[in-house]
Amino acid sequence: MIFEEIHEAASHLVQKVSADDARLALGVPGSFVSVEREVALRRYAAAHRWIVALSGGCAVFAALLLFLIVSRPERVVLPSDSITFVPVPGYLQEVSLTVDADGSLHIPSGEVTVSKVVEETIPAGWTSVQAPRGILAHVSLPDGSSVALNSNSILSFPKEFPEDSRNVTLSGEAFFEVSKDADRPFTVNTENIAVHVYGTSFGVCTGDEAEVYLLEGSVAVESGSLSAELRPGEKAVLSGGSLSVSQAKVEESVYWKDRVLRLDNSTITEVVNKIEQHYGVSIQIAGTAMGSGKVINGKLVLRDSVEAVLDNVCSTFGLEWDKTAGNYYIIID
Amino acid sequence: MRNFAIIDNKMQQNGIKDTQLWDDFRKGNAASFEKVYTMCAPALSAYGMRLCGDAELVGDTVQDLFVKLITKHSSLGATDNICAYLMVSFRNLLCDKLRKHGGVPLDEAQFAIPDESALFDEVTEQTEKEKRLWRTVSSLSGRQREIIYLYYVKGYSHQQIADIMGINYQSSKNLLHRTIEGIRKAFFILFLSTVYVLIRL
Repeated sequence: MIFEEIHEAASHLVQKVSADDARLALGVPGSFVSVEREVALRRYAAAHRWIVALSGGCAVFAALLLFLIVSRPERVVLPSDSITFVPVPGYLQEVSLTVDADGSLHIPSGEVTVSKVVEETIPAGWTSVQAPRGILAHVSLPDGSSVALNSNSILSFPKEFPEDSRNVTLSGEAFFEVSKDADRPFTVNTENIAVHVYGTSFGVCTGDEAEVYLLEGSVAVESGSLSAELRPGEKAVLSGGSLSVSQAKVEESVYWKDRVLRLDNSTITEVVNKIEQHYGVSIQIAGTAMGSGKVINGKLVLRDSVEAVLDNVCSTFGLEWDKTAGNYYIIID
Repeated sequence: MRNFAIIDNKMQQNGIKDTQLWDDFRKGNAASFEKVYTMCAPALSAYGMRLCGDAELVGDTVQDLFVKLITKHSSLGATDNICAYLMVSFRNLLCDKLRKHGGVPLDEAQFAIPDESALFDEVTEQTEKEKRLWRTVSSLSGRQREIIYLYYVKGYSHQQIADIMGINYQSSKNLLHRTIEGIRKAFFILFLSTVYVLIRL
């Protein structure tokens, strides 16, 4: 009789747990619409790949012809390993790239389209990877280091690292997680600064002002005769010929790595500039909307389409947006 | 052994419908994609929440699973219980993600069940018995709670449970048998001690 009691109680409990399941499921984000969108995005990328592969094939053929006609083999470096990613319009896409020990490049199939870089002048034996606007690339180097390359940035490195050094060059912004190797110091060279690393994670941003921020380990920053050593939590800024080191919220500096923008008293113009940079779109602000003087703080997630991000931003500022053509948008009052 | 007739009936009815729906899905029928999502996403989400409790991670895993299923629909195998079939890949995917995030591996995870206070808001004589049973279930190991959940709440067969939990058929039977024995003993002891206390009074 006691076991019958158990069974009765148990069947009640089963029903209660089922009801609790429904409650739990409600707390989990996600919808079929977002699944559909992701599937469409992948199909688009796959279809796009064919077109690029075809035109790429034609380009290679043309280049070969040209190569044969004006044959000066000792000077021509075929940029066969230097690539740029082709973004999907309206999205900030995250892609990954692996560099093998023999210098060959790999990307997961079906994720992104790649085309060759022709305009870059790359030293012989070097590879260059370009993340244009609309792409955030995670690059794994053969020594075990990894680099998150922000959109509109270029990273170059030798096809094989020599035994005594690991030199890379950067233009734009990147976050490095360098694997420890005491015999082979890692150096990031940019137009105006060099960062010497001893196994650590840090970010470098070049431009009018070069900036280096350190999360872990230690790095030395060098620019001409100036030099500085950074401790975790510090950032170095090269501006107007002087190099200054200060405490900074370095964790916030790398939000971009996860496709998140940190907004700190940002005006609509500043926000729009960043969206333009990350999505590779052009956004115009109509005269009256600009002067509102309102600023916003917080995080802006860039994992959705540019339309969704604009919705978000405009509702915060109390503005409206419209699509004018292709990649052109306008913000109005 | 399983006395919950409601569940068994529901399962059999679903079986016929599931086979057809799943065949449509494998042929790439767009309407069936949404139907399967609506049918199974809540169950997968709830199961995932019990396994790891991270709503965002569970949501991502459900989304990734369906994106993968839809893009590779033609290479999927046959099944007569879609949700049970999906739970196998779902659990593996969640396992991988947890490992990548450096979280607690699933095997050591505590399978979460609702709090006693959340389940029993009204106090009746009936709930006293349920509470007693609930306490014994709460004292089980994570894997024991998981098998109880899959067998009784979800109504899955031993073969399905073996696939989901990554164990073999016999281990599934043994694990459930041991668990039930444990519950019976614990329940019986609780019962005896209550009687004993009553007599002493």
